[in-house]
Amino acid sequence: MAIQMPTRLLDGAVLSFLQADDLYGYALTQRVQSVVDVSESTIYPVLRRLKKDDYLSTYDQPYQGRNRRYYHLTVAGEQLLQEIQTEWQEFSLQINKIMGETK
Amino acid sequence: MSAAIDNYIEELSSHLSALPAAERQDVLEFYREFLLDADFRQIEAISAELGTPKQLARKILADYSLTPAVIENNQSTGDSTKKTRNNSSRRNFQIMWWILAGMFAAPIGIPAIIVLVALIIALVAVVCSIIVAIITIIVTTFGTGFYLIFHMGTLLFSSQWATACFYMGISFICLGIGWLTLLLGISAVRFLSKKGVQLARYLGNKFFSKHYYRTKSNHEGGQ
Repeated sequence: MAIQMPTRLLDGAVLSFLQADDLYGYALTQRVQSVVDVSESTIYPVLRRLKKDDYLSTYDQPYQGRNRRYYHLTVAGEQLLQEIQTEWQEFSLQINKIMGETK
Repeated sequence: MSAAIDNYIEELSSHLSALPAAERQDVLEFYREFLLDADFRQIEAISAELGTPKQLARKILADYSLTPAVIENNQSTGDSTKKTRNNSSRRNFQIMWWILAGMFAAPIGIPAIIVLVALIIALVAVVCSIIVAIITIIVTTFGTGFYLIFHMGTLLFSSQWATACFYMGISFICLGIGWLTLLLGISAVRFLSKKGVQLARYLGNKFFSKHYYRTKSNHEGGQ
């Protein structure tokens, strides 16, 4: 597909998955990859940036003698998600006017 | 714990030595956990997913360089301001290098690489010629200044006062120009390195938003 996932929507996708569940890196990567075709090394930069801007927080949970780091949506993260959702609704509405909705 | 994962993480770590310790720790833990969860047994399988440790390290470093806050935080930990200022120029060049290396690690076409290389060579040439010009001015003015002072000394002993005064004036002018150029040169290098980082970040952001968040199929080389 020639259309590529913009960073903003990738942020939205990550935030959206984390709103449903707190997830650890691998599980989150799997979920994002189930929807969009992104490489594995794409997710860490997104998480790092979102965490730095306080949209996400992390906590560790022991699992089989090691730790898994879970990512959790903060209040600011929920607001950002809503913003991105609104942006996307408006954008897709406009594009659909031109491209025509399927069926 | 798989030896392949340990090896991969260890090699990745060795390529990330320039990162602040806390940041390095964080990214290494993320990928260690990722690989353990993904349950890889062979280093080839890991490289097929994430790229070789070196490729992954380049992406990581480029990403760090594009996010100013992290680098700036790291800088402000310097104890004396003078030391920090000196380091910042070097740091700036390092950041530029990381961004460039990250660009080369991304899967882009040959034409893009040629354009990129040409651009870099041109920029380096311009910067180098400016630096060489500044150094030439400094060396010649200081050289002439000190030579004339020495010459003046010998003239004083032979009681040619007028000529001695003339030489003294000229030498002071030369030393003055040399000193001013030196100061200007230092701030010019600082200015250039700062602008260079801004330019590199700008290009990097443009570039990576297009090429960094690549699809999995492209990442594996099948355009």
